[in-house]
Amino acid sequence: MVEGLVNEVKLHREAAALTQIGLAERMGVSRKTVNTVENGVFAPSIVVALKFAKALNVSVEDLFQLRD
Amino acid sequence: MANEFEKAEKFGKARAQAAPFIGALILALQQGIIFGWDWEATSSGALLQVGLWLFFAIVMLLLLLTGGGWFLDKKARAIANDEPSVSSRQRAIKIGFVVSLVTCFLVVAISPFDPLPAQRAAHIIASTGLGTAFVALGMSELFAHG
Repeated sequence: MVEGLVNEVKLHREAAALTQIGLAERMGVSRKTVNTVENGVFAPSIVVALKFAKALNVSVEDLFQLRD
Repeated sequence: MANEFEKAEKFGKARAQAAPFIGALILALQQGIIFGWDWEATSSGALLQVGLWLFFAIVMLLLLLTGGGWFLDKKARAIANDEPSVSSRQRAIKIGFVVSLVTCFLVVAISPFDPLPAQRAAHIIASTGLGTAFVALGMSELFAHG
């Protein structure tokens, strides 16, 4: 797990009625990227974080926050 | 007809499943399980064996460094070699490097008591490094695929 990072990707993906594969295709990345980020296994780069935000139509801060 | 995402997904899963077996094969070759080694021999058979092993080892090293998928189209390959895959490979290479160094230390420590031919020592070091790197890569990728 990535220490100190909280992400709400799954919440926003489900709200957008997207599967992991659907979101991955919209972002142009693999399903594995979506899966590992959602599960907190992998901390994405700024570029991939921005792709998540764009694909889900939210801000990066809505998706990723530092744990207090 | 599968699209690039499906091709990348299929390739990524196959790579994750194959990597530990490739690692085990490299270690098995080192242990002479597949065929015996006649260290420092110069017969044509021994030279062919060395040539084949070198070719295999170089291809495996390139596979580890690039992530493979050489015959996929550019987009599918880029998707298959995404950020988590690059991260897994970097971690595997680090583990392989450390294992190679530790093996070097052991070879140095053991040599006064059981001298090893240079070819055998290099073979042990390269095999343990490459083999463990592939096992580590496979474990990491299998976990990432969920």
